[in-house]
Amino acid sequence: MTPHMDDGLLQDFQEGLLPPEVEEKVRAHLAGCPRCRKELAALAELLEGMAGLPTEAEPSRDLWPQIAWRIGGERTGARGVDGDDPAVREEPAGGEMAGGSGAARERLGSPRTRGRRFDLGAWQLLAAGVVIALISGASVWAFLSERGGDQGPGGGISSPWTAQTAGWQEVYGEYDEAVADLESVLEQGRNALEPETIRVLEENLATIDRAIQEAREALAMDPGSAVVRRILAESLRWKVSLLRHAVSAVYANT
Amino acid sequence: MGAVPLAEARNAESWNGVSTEALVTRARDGDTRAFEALYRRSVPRVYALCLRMVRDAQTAEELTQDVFVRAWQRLESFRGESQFSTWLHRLAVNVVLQEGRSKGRREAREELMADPDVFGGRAREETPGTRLDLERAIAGLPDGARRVVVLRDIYGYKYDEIATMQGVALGTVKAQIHRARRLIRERLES
Repeated sequence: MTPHMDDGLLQDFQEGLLPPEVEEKVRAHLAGCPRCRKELAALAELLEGMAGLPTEAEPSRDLWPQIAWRIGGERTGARGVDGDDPAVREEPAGGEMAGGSGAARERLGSPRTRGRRFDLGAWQLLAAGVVIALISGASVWAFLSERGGDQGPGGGISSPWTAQTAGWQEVYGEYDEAVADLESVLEQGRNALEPETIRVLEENLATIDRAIQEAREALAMDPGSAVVRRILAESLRWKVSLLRHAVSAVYANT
Repeated sequence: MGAVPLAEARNAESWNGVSTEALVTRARDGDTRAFEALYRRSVPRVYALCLRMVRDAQTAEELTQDVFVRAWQRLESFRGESQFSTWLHRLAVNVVLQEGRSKGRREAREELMADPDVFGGRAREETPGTRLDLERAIAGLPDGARRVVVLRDIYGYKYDEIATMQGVALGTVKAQIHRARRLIRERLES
């Protein structure tokens, strides 16, 4: 028998997992062994420290819009694109499960929503435009889903919010490169897609492009605006995401 | 259960006074707004679990989405015999472990968790100067060792529960956890 207790035995002892007779032997050993007592104390401190670690953390972005899209619901309560501005949230539909992007688009176009738009500020209008773009993108996504890939909008795309240490320009530059690469692949393989798919895709990319352009112009006027930066980043992310899905559909058909 | 007034359904925050059980009932009936409220209540715990298990924030966010999509799909199977939070947490563990087994989507990422401070607020019992070291030591463990020790020592799962979830023998789990603790202590002492 070794002069000191096995580490595993001490761990089991600390957690009360040993049969009584073994536990008694360990206890007797500990009474006469300062080294094993010290080991046990260190183990207890470690376990206490781990048990006290926080069990909650916030994601860097709102994950609900993609979840809602994936479960076939509307982007209810989505925090727009500027975090928590209720003015750009979609109107509620009374709790019924919406039938996907079509229903969401219709809701955005409801008289009630249109009436509210007159009260929106410039940034909010911009944000609302992006929301429309995102939802339109979702419709293309649904269209393309029949032809390959199953990731929802933005699925697998890195969010600029996770790149907190990178400069904004650097982040946007990376997205621009990704867009250029994907557009190149898509252009070469566009014959693999149905004409109707191409039409819907291009319509929605154009909508997103307008949102990107408006955000860039707004950012040029107000470079310090975190809201506009976020809108721009979300728009770019969605564009990359949409293009990636389209490219996967190309590959699926070739 | 009475219907929630339309005015209260305008955003997720308006569900504050509604019990989790009531939200589950509504979500089970297809109410995505109620499910969103459940999501907002639960996401910090689910995301923290995913992040601790996989270390990488982007993968953790993807897994968190998977967890809630899976929860939506399986809500019918939730019978209320346990708390919803317990059911959801167990579901999250299964999703993460399945991800670990398939490794289909995730490439091995060697970098440590960028910012251990992402875990909100303060530790349940703060020990100044040691918490970040402990977080880093846990994050630096090999994947398998980290997963089991997180489940056991942070989330309090029993050994046999972890063995069942992992699909391995009880002795294997114990050995993994013992080893993981040794590694953590070595890292803290080095």
